[in-house]
Amino acid sequence: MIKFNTPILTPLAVCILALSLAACNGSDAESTVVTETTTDEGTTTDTSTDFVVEVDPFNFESDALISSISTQTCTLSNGDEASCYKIDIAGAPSNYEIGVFCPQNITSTADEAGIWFDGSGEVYDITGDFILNLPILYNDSHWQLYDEGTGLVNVTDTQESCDGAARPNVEEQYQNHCVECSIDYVDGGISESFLIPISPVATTQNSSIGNANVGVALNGVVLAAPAPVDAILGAYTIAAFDDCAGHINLVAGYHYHGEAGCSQTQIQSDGHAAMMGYALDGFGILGMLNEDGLEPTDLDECRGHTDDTRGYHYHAADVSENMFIGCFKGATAR
Amino acid sequence: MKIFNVIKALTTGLLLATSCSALSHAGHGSNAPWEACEEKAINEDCSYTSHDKKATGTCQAMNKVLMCVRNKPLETLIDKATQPASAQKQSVKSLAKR
Ligand SMILES: [Zn+2]
Ligand SMILES: [Zn+2]
Repeated sequence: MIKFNTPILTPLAVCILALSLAACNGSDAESTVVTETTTDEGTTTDTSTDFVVEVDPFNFESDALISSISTQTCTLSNGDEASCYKIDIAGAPSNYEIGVFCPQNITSTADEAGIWFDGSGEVYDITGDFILNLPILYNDSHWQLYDEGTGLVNVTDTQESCDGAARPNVEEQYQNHCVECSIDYVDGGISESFLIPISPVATTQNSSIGNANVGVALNGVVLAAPAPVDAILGAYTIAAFDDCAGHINLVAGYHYHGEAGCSQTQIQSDGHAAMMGYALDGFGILGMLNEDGLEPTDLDECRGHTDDTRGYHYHAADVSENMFIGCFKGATAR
Repeated sequence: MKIFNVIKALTTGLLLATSCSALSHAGHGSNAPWEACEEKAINEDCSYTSHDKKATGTCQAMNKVLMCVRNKPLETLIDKATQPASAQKQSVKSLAKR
């Protein structure tokens, strides 16, 4: 493993850490960079994608979008000219109130705070006990997210501290903080516009996920690339999620890093997992588990497969895995 | 993360924008999905064990860093149902318990 104390890398560590957090911020500028740097690195798969299901605007929840979906010509990543839907999401969930993030003190219960996941397969309720156990969980005695005298958790509970902690270069004073931001700081949500091919085009090579967004949820929330948990943890911060696996920063607003079931609004009549969003290539994303509680066993490397009803579609990973899909099976709009 | 990967990243000119996570897995104990692909190429099979569960999938690039993307159902290595409740972690929503 490469450590921060590797001499040649030490000068880079700070900026790398900073930029890792910038990825989480997901600004428009960053999205552009990733669109340009996303490359075809995959291989062909056995998955049949002959049967194509178009994007259905009516799958989106009312109030998830700030304007009607329009159609415009677009150029796809494979060079094809195509028709795309322009989808303007509200940037806030249309179907629930954004929940709590950080606990107030070391006696807080699961109901009083949100969740944390680091991509390794567990979802933690950010209880007081969780805060107390951080040095053990991450095997580092520098973790101290609370005041020993009062038991109060260090929370970025002002816009200034949110800005100082949920940003590329975490200010040192906000190390050892539970990071949260209010949706009020971004006027209730940051709307964002996406071009998605109406008729998804499967490519012979899969495209990798960059540090830009992966798709849109049916309730108007952006599906972000994996949160840079290593950088977050490296700054001794917990970028708390609400119970729906969303959190807020001042650049991206409210965004998801995992599929916690809060946007699975399109129930499938045949018992397949409910649909929760669209990937930027236009293929649908469904929940991880079918109605029988089981995960499909025939998923490809992008976490997709094909059936006669839905054509090619993805199944989101578990929320604990800090991702939705493994790669793009189809071409995305440039 | 092999050192030649780091050097390659340094020479791309895209380091600052795209390989942020590559160098910052600073040993916080939750690196299993990345470590599973350290010596592998994209699309190679991979697996890792974390929190008593085994994940199996393929190596995919996320933010220019290979990590193991699971595409098979998780396997539970230890049946927690047979353990006394006191031995189970509290405040943890485990996949195995769903
Ligand atoms: Zn984020
Ligand atoms: Zn399916």
